Amino acid sequence: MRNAIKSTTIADRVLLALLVISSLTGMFYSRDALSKGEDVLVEINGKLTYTLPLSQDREITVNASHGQATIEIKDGRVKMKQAECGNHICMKQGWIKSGSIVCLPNGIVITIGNGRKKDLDAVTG
Amino acid sequence: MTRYPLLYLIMLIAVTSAISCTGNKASTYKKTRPLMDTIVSITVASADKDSAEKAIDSALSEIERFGNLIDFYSDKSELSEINRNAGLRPVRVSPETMDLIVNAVAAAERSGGAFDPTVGVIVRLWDFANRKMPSDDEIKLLLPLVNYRDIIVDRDNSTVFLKRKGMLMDLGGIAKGYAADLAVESFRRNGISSGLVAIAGDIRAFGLKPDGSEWNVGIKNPRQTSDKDEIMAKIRLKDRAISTAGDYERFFILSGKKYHHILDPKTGYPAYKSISVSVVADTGALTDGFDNAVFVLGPEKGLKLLKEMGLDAVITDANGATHVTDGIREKLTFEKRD
Repeated sequence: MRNAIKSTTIADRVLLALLVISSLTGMFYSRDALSKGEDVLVEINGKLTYTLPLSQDREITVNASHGQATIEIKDGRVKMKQAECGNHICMKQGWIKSGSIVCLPNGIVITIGNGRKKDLDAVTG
Repeated sequence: MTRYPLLYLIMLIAVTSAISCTGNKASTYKKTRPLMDTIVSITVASADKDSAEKAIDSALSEIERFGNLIDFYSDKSELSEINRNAGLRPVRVSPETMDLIVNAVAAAERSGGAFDPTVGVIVRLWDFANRKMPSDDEIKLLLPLVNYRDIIVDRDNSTVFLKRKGMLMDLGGIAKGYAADLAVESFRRNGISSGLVAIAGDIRAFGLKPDGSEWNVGIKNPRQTSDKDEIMAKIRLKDRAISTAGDYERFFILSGKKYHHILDPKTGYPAYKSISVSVVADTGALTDGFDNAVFVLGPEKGLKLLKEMGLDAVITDANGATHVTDGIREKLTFEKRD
């Protein structure tokens, strides 16, 4: 290891530093790029099935490929509370305030975004 | 340093650009509050959360303060004092109330009375919540009190006087648009250069969104049948305001006839030449002042007035046909109908 470090040139070290900086910056940006919004959008097998306000606490149970799945919205966050799938990766993800929860076996995608009017900043009328 | 100057330079640029990009990145901040008997929603773009929230709070306070001055239903408002003293004496008012009334009278004059703030006396006869309409006689009796020419504005002495006893001025047809203008002025004073003020359907956009795009505002479909066709069209706005008058906002149906809240000041009855009018202009005072006027006039006379005033609009007439002025054609996208 020591030899490996010794054998590097300054250029190598600069390159390494640049890579570290760019990956850290990337992390910062990617966290920022997660979808945000005021609604919870539930897609089942590619079809948008529910658009629910993130501000209203509730539990909904949906029928999916492997039986029923329960989604909970509370305090402006959402989680997959219960799902009939093998590995329960979706449940292990816990509460999210932005981004998505995907339950691949059930074909469920829960995204935090802004419903149908997502490209609108306001409505007149 | 001297051996690898180029590498050090690249590294320096990478670090500083990463810091500067993250430091100056603007986000949007939004607050919603019930004010002026409606929902006020403000979005601003700023690189600093604290200053954005402080600026929104002071704009909301400004709207609240102004709303209290011109509240038709509160005994404590300056507007109520003007109404109480109709036919008696001129009432001294604050600069904002004065300016609003000057704008209201101007809109009344330019529209030949299609918008008239003194229609308040007739508005009070209609009870849309309880589906009660006044009799012909009641309307006939009070209609002579509707006349904007009897609003005597004395700017030198900051007074307003309603000439005849019994007159009632209702500024609800213009106040929300004007309040949006006040909010935008407040943001400019507080160093916020981009945002969107929505006082119900009276909306004023200033500057651009953080991603450099214009603000996107939906125009409600006046004949919505499901939640899938709520929006008739979208319009992109920068430094412009939009207000909508629609026959679907407050109405009741009696013996198969729809009675809605946009009254023709000349007849005292609802106007039926349009079903929705959205006016676009530089200020909310203009859009809110003229949306009802154009609605009452209908597409033919309304488009003429808009041209004279240099304003733009989307009009849906009584037959459901849509009329758009040239100035906003490129900014509008109509929703596809299934």
